[in-house]
Amino acid sequence: MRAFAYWAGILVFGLVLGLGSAFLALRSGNSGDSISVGPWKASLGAGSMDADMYTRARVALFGLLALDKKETLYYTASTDDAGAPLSGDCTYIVEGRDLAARWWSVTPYGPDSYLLPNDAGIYSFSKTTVKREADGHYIVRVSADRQDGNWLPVKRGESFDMTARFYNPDASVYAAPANATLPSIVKEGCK
Amino acid sequence: MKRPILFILGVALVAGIVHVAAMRALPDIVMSRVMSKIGTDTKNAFVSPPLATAAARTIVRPSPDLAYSTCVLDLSKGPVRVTVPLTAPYTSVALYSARTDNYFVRKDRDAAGKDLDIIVVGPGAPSPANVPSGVDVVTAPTARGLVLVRRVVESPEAFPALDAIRHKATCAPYKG
Repeated sequence: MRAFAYWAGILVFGLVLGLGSAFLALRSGNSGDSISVGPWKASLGAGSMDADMYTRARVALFGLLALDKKETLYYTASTDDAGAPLSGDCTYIVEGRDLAARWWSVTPYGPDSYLLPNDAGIYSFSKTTVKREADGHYIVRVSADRQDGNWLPVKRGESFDMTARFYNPDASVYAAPANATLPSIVKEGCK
Repeated sequence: MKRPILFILGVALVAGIVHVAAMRALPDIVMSRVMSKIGTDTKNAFVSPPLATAAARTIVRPSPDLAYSTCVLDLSKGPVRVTVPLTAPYTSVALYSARTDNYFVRKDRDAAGKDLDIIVVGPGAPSPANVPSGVDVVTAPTARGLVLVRRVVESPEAFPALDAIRHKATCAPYKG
């Protein structure tokens, strides 16, 4: 009986320690290769084909079926330029110029990481759908209420974040992702 | 008196084995789940779901501007030919192994206006005897895997024409 407890103890402690350390190793260390441009953050590890087991496990969990950064580069903002978390109760002005890529888009996601339901069926603005001012720059209002001009709907009462995608970024961007130019996010007002 | 030391060594050994085994198994488990979600009975054939909306809940952070097509590869019974017509402004064809590695990617810019046309063979399998000219042979690191085609949809109005071209893509066993 004591021998059984001894060996079972080894197995149980070993299992708990092994799985626990695996879990901790995956949770930490995912920020090593992340960069930011204002509120926009990019994780450069996703999708690159690195052979070590930790990288591969992390890709499986956080960047499954992603592409290399020369193909697509993703930046996500969860706050405005002032650092306040993005809220569906506020209206934001997102203003900028074309992103340096063959094609680009900006998409808001809810706290569950899925697209936000809205009656207009608008889920993003992009190089080909955004309306521009005379000088070529664009102004988009992100709000739960319908807006004149470019409108990106979000959901009242829910926080959200926005992902900017660069499809085939220009060489200057993937060579130095921290120097990329992204739109500004300024709070206009809240309800 | 040696028992406590043996106990600690035993625990460390088991923990080390479990740690490495869990880490190595994870990509295969995740990929296997994704492949069975996509292609329950449809191996070696393309599936082209509609554009993602708020109702899409299979994969987190879907891109609403991308039309995806997927083909679950099973190369255990021979090579598979993948032919994909490309659309502007962006199409990429990416091949992933059963361990999540992206071992092949080609985009419309590399294809110079032609269809992407490849024959995928399993690990260690010979190249087929008759390979049509202009078709590349790609050796997969695992017999199971996934082909993922991404197409940018410029606007909702552009989708019907693109969708018609998308459905012309083929993924089928190749009898050389």
